[in-house]
Amino acid sequence: MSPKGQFELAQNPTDPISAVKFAPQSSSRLLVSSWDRHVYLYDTLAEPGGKLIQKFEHPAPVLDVCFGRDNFEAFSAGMDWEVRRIDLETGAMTALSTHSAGVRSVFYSHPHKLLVSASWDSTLHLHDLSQPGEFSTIALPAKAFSLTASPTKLVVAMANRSVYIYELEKLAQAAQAGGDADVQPWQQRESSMKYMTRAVSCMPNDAGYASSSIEGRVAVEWFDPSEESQSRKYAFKCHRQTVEAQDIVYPVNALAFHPVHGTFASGGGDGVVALWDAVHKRRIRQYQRFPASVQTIDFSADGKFVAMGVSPGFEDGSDDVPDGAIKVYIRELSDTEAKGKASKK
Amino acid sequence: MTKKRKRYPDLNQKLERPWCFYCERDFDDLKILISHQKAKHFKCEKCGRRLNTAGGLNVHMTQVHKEQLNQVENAIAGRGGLDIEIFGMEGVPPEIVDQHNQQVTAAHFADERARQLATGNPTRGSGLNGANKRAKKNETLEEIQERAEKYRVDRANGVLPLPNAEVQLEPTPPAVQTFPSPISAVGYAPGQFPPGAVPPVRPGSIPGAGGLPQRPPFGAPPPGAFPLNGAPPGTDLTASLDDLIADAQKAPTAEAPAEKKSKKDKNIKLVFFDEIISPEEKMAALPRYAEFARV
Repeated sequence: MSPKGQFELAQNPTDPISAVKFAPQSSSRLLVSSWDRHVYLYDTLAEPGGKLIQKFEHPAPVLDVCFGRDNFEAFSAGMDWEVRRIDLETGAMTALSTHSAGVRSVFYSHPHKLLVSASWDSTLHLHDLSQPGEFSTIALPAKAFSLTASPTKLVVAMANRSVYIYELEKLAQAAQAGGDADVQPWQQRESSMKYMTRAVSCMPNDAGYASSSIEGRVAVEWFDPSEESQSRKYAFKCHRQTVEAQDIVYPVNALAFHPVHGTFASGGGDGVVALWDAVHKRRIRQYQRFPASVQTIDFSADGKFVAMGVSPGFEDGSDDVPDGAIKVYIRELSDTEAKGKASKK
Repeated sequence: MTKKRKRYPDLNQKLERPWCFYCERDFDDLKILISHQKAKHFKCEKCGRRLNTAGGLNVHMTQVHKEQLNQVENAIAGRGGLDIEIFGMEGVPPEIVDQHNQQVTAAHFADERARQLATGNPTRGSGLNGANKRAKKNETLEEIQERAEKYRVDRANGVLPLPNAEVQLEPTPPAVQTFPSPISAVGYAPGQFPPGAVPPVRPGSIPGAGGLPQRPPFGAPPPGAFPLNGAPPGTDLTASLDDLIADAQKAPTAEAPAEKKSKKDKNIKLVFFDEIISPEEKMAALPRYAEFARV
């Protein structure tokens, strides 16, 4: 018996899930990208278990996907080095740019009409969509692992634990200018955690961001460089399990902020999704363990739904997929479910 | 839940414990000490009657058993004499009290040192934990500079007796400082040192005692530590004030990593570990996906 308000999609990808994304103007339109070389488009509420509207085949595993300017445009990033635009109505795909290694993330910023892709070739590509075929390159010091943005800032987490924060305004200007963009990051930070950064996610109120590491830990930081704001940053342990006096520490694969309440969800290799209140430093709730690693989480724009992509991570080198381990779960949140609790004090 | 941290008694608690003059054993309570003395030292070997004092036992022996008591039973060497009337802690000669306190003190610091070496934890009173923790001041740079400027002016005018700010910067003197030093009995009553004087060093009694008040901290003095006695030269003063400001600025960030490092590495197992290769890159290298990789 599945918990109330939670269901799984009926037609799931056949290989691990790399990303789930809700449409900006609809809380039932969901994109899923997968290692099975497809991008899936669902209407999650059309029928029980959701309806698969269409799937878009790619030449290589798809590592990330995002919606573009409207409900009918998407962008994908893949192991074949390409950044693609997908017309969700006609199914037409156009390559926008080619990196020199796999493309890990794509992000579309609505206020700045800017598409950013981040790759293992240690570059960002900026795409000004009004100039098709044009893109600008920004060199990074290391492979990009995670990309996220708030209304004004873009945060890139990289391999050597460094984190660069760019101003989207400047990036948008550079993209319009074209060519090799020479945009310096607004801030260069080192991760406050000792281990590799796994995911970053920005607070919807533009105040800061959360980052997670492969060593069961999440850090919350603020953009404001003042001493006062920086002293507020903290990190905490999560997604761990004690087995016979040994702590099994899972990577925290996914982070997503709730667009309305400003709380955030973390998903770990232990198959657990937890909701946290970043301000009061409290865990709000933790959901029942999923049968495999939680790879990706996204809240719908109105904050009423959360989608969770669950699949084995193959971190241990084995690539055996147990039956039913690859699934997208959708949860309908009650009004107060993701709301932060007031501090007890 | 984590295990509650063991609370080790501090020196004052140890020194307050009643102890037996005859055998140097210490007890939780005076009542227990007295019953110990009655059972071990003041008990008649003929009839088992327990007397209150050695003198009482002597009278009992002569009157009841027509025997002479020569020395107190179970006493350590030199303490078995009948000339001293002992009841509980009463009647113990002051020099013996001092000798005992000195031994307890030495043992205490030796224990603390050994524990510090074994656990790596800071000694009591040397860290910022517990009662000595100062509330973190949230001052802006301007406020600190303002305070520093006021201090400079006051100092130049000779207004301030001694800098308040600097006194606050010194860690609160550990409770240890107030216990009656055995040696002090020579010159001053216990606990009453002349104001400002450094308490006399207990000769040879404290091997490698860390965290003693009169010992300077290891390594260079902290940037905020000021010379307390004597007016420092003007340049030194400004320099140390600058240090103070710099210290206050970097304090919040500097504290965090130190705290992290002091935490012990537990027995942990990382499900995924790599310095530079992300899980996705590892996946991309698996045979089932490698065929799609572009080269």
